[in-house]
Amino acid sequence: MDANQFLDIFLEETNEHLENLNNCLLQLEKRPEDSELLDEVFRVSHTLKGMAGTMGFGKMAELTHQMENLLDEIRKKRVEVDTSLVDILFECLDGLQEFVNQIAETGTEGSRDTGALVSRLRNKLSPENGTANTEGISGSRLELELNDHETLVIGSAKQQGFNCFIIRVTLNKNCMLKSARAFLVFNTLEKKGDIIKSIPGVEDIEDEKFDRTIKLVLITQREMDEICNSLLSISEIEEVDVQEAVQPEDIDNFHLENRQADSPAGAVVSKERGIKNVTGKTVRVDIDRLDNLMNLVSELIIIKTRLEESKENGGKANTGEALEYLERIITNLHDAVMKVRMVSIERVFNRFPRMVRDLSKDLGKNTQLYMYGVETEVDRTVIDEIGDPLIHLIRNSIDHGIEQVDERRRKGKPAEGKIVLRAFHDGNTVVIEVSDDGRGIDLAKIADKAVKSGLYSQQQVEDLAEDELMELIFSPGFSTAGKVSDLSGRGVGLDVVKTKIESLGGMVEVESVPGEGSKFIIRLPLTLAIIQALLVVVGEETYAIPLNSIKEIITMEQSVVKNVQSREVVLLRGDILPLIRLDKELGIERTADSDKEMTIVVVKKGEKLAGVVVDKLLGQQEIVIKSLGKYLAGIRFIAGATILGDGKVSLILDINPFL
Amino acid sequence: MADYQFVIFKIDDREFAVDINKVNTIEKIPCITRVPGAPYFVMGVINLRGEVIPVVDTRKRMDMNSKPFDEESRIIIINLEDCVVGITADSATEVLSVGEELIDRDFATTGAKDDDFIEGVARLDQRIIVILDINKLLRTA
Repeated sequence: MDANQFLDIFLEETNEHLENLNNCLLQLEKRPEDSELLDEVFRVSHTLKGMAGTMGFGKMAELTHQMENLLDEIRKKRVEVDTSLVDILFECLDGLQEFVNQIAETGTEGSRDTGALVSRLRNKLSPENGTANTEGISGSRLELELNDHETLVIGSAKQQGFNCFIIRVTLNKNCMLKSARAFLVFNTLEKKGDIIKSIPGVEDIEDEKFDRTIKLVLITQREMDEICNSLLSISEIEEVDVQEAVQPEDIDNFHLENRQADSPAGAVVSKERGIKNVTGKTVRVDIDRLDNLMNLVSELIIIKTRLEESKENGGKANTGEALEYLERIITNLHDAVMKVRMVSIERVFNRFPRMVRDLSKDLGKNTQLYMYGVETEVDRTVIDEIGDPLIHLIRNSIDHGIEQVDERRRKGKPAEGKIVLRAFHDGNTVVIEVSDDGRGIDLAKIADKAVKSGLYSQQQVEDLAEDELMELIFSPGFSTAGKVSDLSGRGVGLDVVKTKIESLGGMVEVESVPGEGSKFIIRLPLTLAIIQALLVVVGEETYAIPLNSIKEIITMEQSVVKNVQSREVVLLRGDILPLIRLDKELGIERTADSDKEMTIVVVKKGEKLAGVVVDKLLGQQEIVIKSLGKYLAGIRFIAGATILGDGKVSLILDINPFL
Repeated sequence: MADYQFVIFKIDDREFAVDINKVNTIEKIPCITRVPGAPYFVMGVINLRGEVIPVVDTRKRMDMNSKPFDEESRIIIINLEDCVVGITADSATEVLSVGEELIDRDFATTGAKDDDFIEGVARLDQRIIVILDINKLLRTA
């Protein structure tokens, strides 16, 4: 079977299940008695087992199988849910996630060994259940020579969640009809599963060419005890020894090799897929939205016919009306397509409860995460990018913000620290807030640090306004954490967050009340794909400047340009505005006309301003951002490209390096 | 013996070959937008049916004299592993099957700059066709 075509679906669904599992486990830790939750966890791991088995991912199936065993015991109230148990389950989850990531990258499970985890799972099983196992283990291991084919069968059976037992049946010394008893043994076992091997062979048994023992290999869905008991109920049986068949360690490799030998073509395919990232990015879309899209497209077809008709008739009035109609459809279409690309921010937020739990455990703090507005929809491109900055901020809050429990008590705060993650729409932007009720940001400390690290002099720092001082935490290499921890304090945190958010066309602010907590506010555009831009001409070339980075447009005489420290500047309402000559910066060929008036586009980044000198303004336009691609990645001054109405490519200026 | 299929293109009167599996399409020269700050041999970007594709000036890349485009000039769109790039050519005229036995992979290097990009040389009758290692030709670093 070529499973590759199902790989994408498998990965997508597995990820969804893992996410679900994660949520359930988190809740289970809080409400261990909730049987519905437990059932859900059980269901999910069962589904995962089935899916992994079907796709031939044996290790995943084995891991989930053991998880299921443990969960089953919990369901039967034989094992208590406690933190250590949840920890193990979380570890399993991580293990599964790693498998899935590995599969996504290479198409195979990789070589990660989960043996230790599996055996810990086994240990967690209660003693009652353990008896059957110990019985088997205490006796000498049953050895059975298996040929390659049989090993393979056992391996794949295990992957599919079947049990594999090696059974030794010893008949009574006085047994008269050995073959008849043996037949009964076979018969009983065939009802429970499949016998894949017997020693001695079936013919020898029929001819009574054997001593008193028969060894069998059984593949079954039944449990060990059941098999054991059913065999013991046959008369004239002296002893029954059932053991789990041990898988040779290299079974998985062996299995793989075998498959490759079977179908060299298949192996090549998987290899090729291994090089590339096997999975594409997908978005789940509500069917209503697709219907809406379909409707709009059919309207487009109608309008096309209408335009054709009006062209034949040569009627001008009709054309105008049709064009207006067309414009409306296109606007709607744009909206509809954007909606298709929208994903609820839950996808990003989902991983945080777990992170907060683990982090606060590591740091010995008591923190609770509250999330609001998880249903807020954001463009897919934003979703992919926003995760890391948020992780940074949340880590920051836990590490720096939230105090240790005793410190909180002293301050009269509730022992449990609170981190609030909130997302909502605000006009054309999405706002994501990360706030905590920790110790807040100490401005004096920032000032102190700023002076010590040599960024500012004492005098300068004293002159800075409060918000300017606060801004400093975003500067590179800045950290007020007393000691460097594993998590933060290395000063690479907040400036990275800021750069990332700004590269997404957003901004980040911080508000803080000392002693009461701090709040980081991220503002992001709804989508990154389509923006408003100003088209400008320099020399022969046309560039687009994103409108959100433009403050104003002014004209000035050449003569007012002054040189300050070999930089050209002009005075704009009393403030110094550095000038940027695009022709020089971008190497554009252009004949200098020194006497003409200059058109200056004043661009801003935060509070900083600069004047970009252009030859001509073409006007404002909605542009679709296209990436320049990997081949031309990392080119300064250029943020991307767009295709203009005439089919020509125009580059989008990145003003950040100018400022 | 396995035959290789190549797209043959010309620069001046030299003939070059690229593996046909790597070739996406062959296009006439559209309007090319210069990209400031790009590697010296990147002419700019073009709009290929809604995608922005970088174009490499093959002459510049191989240290040959530049020549304005004419009616025959083409851009050969190449699929690399993770991106699509165009290369310019004076003309792209044929697809050729070449048997392995005709390809000389151990040709003596001449020390010229374009040696780096040469994967082999195919000799057919009177023609000598240089087979390009397209990955090396387009490598930016």
